[in-house]
Amino acid sequence: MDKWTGGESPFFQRAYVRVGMLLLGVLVVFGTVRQLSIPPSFGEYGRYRGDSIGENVARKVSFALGSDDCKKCHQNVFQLVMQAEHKGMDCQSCHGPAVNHVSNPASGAPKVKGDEELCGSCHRQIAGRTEELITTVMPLWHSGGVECGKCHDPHQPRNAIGGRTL
Amino acid sequence: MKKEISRRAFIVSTCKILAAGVLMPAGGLAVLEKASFAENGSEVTDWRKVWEGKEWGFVVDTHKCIGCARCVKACKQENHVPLDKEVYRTWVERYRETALGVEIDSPNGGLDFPPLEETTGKQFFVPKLCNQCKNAPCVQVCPVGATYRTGDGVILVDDKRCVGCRYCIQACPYGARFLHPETHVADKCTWCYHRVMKGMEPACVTVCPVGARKFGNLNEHSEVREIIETERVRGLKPEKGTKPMVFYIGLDEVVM
Amino acid sequence: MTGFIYPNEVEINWGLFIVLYPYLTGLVAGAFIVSSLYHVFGVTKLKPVSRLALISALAVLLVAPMALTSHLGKPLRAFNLMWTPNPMSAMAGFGYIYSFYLIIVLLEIWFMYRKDLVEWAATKEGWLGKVYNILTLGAKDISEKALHTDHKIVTFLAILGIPSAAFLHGYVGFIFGAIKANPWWSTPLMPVIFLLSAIVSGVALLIVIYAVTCKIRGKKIDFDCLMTMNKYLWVFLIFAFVLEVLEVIHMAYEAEEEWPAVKGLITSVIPFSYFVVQLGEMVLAFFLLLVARFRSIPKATAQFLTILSGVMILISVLAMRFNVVVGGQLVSKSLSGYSKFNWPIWHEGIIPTAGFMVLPFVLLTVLVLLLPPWVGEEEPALKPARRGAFEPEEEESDKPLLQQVWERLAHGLSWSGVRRGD
Repeated sequence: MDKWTGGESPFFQRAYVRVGMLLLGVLVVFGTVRQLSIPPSFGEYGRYRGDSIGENVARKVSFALGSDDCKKCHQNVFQLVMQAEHKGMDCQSCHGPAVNHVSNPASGAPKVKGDEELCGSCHRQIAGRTEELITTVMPLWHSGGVECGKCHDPHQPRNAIGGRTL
Repeated sequence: MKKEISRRAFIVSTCKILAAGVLMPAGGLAVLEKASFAENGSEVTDWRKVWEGKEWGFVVDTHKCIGCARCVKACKQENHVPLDKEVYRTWVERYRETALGVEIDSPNGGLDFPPLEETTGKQFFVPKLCNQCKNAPCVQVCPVGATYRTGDGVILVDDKRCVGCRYCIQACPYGARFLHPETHVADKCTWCYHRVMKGMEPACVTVCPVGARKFGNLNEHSEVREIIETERVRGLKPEKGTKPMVFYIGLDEVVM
Repeated sequence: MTGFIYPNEVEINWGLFIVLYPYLTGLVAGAFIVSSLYHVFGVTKLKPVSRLALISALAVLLVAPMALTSHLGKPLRAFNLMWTPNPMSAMAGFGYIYSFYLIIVLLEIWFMYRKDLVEWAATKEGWLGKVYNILTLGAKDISEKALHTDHKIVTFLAILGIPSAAFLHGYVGFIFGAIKANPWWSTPLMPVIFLLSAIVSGVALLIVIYAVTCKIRGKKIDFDCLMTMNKYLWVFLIFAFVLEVLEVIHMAYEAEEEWPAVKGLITSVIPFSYFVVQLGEMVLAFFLLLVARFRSIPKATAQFLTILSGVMILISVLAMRFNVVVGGQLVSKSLSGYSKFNWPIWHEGIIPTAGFMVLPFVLLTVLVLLLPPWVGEEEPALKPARRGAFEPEEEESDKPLLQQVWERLAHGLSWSGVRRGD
């Protein structure tokens, strides 16, 4: 220590040089790690990872294309529906996601129960659902708790079981 | 000077500190992250070609909506959003003008509207979803570039890059974003981009029983384009300057 | 939940950790500015706390990103902010601005302690000596000339540190202020409000830390130093209060579409933490600090009032952060209702948050033991002329502060003016 008293120490012994070197080292390491850490496809199309688009697109589909897929096998039902009130609807609106069934018909057909929970989601009388838009009922009042499907065929909803037009 | 360090020792110790302090955790993270990048890559080599001539648009006809929330359910099924959690990529709001003012509700995203209520007066449903804004605040604020707008106008989330800071959720004026309870990254409606790229419509459009939701390419002669060109439509919260791309027919002033 | 909120707003996305983050960085910015008042603006009365301020700033600075990282949905990806920052994002700057500021603070501390480090490295035995030896980075020249260079560098860093501290915290305010979706956040005043409340909380923190360390070490509190902090706290408090209130008055006067929602927030959702804790304590502290400087107030009471105000301000600013961060999210973006904050216990809850609030003090203890900030204590600081009259009064300072205050209070109003032999 004494040998430097009053004079300037050698360049590499100076405080600011030492700390500067340390900082420089940190910066170099940081820069290197950063370069290694930027995903290869980052910036391909913008400031994001280009591969992410493909990953998003590759996500699994649950709902099939639509009724056209169903028509291929279920001609009869399709004809029935096309003649009646529910003709504009997609089969999957009630039957749920069907892509597995379409690609492998043996796998569980998307059967649903024609109950108040399903039919009521559209036809239950609630505030905001006006008569001009859709026929609504108060389910308990209307059927006394009898399941909708007992009287109505959802594919031809106004044809009751006895063939009587409701 | 008993403990003088030589220059060599200094450099060695500096390197050790650096290695321990920066290289190990950071490098380790880098490797961890990279390992998961390679999977699931799509075969498309240049998305610009796919996007060419496409600008997707969405039309919601509030006059038609009956509040059945088939869209809400289908969306959750299609996009693996837990049905029992209060997070929604799309939802249906109900507006009722009463003597006390406007009452708004959307119980469980519209899946649980209670039956048998006062059905007179001005009442209507408004389905909501991501507006895929042209000037999207969520894209602007994402600190890591994990959310972006594709060339054909859909905002996607990079779930392998998102850090889960939730700044985008705060920035969205429409409440369209949420933190996915299972993946712990931001999630939102993508207009079912994975379906659209396979030539299908968004799941909500497919299942809507009354045709209140319409989707299509604004650069072609599509139904949505025709509606936007002929009917009086508006987006939500135009004052925010976000340029939303969901166009509403019959949107009332009270809709927030 | 009252009224209508968007279905996705049930979850409060930014919880207590994010309340803590601006609070902690605020304390850092404030503490740093106190040290700069001494180093740059020559407020020599602050000498007893100038080093303590920096060490405290470092202790808190190290904890701030821990709270932030713990909040992330994917904490392991935190470095993505450094690897691929989005230049358009207000938050992306965090990694860089924080690192820059951390380097400034570390450098300033290093240059300030360098002489001591070299001496400790030479005198201390065992592993501690080794630690000091490594900390010197081998730069052992403590000649006059070298120390003079050090001093110049410290001054330069302190100068550079002021805009950095202001930027760091103004920027935190910007993160909130620039969110147009949130009516309670979206105001250009937000960065300024954050900055001023940061300074206020930092000064308050130093007052408290200084008083506590003096008590623990059995040293007498430097009255002039404390009163100088009192003065700065008071001045900054005025600006902080005025701006915070002005923002709301402005919103109320313009009465745009978001005002009813904001009005409902402060009057019926968070009235206590806003009007009582945040604003009320500020007003009370304003008067207490003022009273403490009255000539007729005895020294011990003045000290007590100043320290009490410090504690109150610390709580007030914490409430302010809560009211901004959580309060802002309680207002639905539909402007038609309010979410509910459920005060979680564990997950981003009260207990880990309390842990993050204690941690800086644990770190501070370690840092103080490693780098005692009192080394220069015996050197005579510039003798203040005006307050010289306070000097004698040995009998008091032997007793613990609380005991002094208790005796004062027990004597009732008998303290009026007689203590100061004038």
